[in-house]
Amino acid sequence: MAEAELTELRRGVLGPCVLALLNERPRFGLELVRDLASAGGLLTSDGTVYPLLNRLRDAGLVTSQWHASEGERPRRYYSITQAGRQSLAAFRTEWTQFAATVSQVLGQGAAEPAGAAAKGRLR
Amino acid sequence: MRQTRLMHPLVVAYLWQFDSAASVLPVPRARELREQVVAHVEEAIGPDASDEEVAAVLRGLGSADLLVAEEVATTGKRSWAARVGWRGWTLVGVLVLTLAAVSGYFIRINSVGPLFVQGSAGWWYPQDSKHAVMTRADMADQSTVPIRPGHRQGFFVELFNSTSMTQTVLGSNLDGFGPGGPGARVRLSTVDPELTGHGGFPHALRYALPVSIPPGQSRYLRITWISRGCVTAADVGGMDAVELRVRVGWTTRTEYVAFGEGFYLGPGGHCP
Repeated sequence: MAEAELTELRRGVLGPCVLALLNERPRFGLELVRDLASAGGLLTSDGTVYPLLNRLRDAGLVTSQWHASEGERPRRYYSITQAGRQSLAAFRTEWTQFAATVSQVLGQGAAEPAGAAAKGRLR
Repeated sequence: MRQTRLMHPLVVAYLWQFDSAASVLPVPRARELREQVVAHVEEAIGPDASDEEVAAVLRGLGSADLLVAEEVATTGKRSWAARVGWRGWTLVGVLVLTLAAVSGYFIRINSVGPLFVQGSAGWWYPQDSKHAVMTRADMADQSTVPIRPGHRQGFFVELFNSTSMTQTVLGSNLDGFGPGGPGARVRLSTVDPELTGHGGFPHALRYALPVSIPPGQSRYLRITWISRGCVTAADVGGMDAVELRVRVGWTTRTEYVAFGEGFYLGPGGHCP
């Protein structure tokens, strides 16, 4: 798959993934970046998370607030909102169906050329 | 320690690139994204990070252009008016004010009316005024005197400045030639004849050029020349207006000044 297409695909799913992580607990920026990176293959670059967080906040799916623990530097923690939870739930339903459909189509597409080749050999 | 990380040359260079790229973003958005990037760098770079580790963090962050492009995709670009910035708008303001001042100045100058003739007028030399004949044709008065070949002849009129700006008479269009011959001289009295009590006594004043006429004041304008040759009744020559070069403010312009009556030369007694 071309890198551009993969980037588009990542861009489409990264938002819900961020919402899913924030649904577990509030996280600060770098923490979020590290958790996404550890999942593997989701981030093209660490920095893209921040414009995404800003977009989610503009959409009312995420809020942020500064929090300073003792002995630590102040950090901006991002939390999911009620609208964010609803959006995440809706995406999960859609995604399960969508992923199953895509997997099914991709599975068929992968099987066909092999079958066609076998038929060719028989002749 | 925090300052040390932000002052690392690689970080400084990255933030410089970021600031440059982020100039297309609305200011609050650029500020917020920068704050997020700075926090990321501070968190990700350990206190004893090597140059390679700093470079790796910045590489992982992605290029500043990419970051800004992602943000632009979300928020759109800053409006052109905002991108001009306060320095740009100040410059535009100064240019507009300068243009307005210059335009206003020229409008004001052009709205200043010309000098005009009012009050006393007559032939300069008694031997001419004695023989002056006043006629009226086509609603215009004309004073005619016999030409005196080889002699200086001339006349005077009173110029009045009714405007609110001082007008300085620099010269005329006569180019050395009067109606009767060469050697034309155009001069103005250096003082206001009315204010100095010399109204009606033009010969008592000193004449020069250039001469300034303040608002509400007048000056005698004297034009003389040396008459040459003879004229016949058929080719009477004279003047009923003159073009003066006048400076108003910083502008020099030509003003057409009509005398109200014409000063003409007719056949003389010594001519055939």
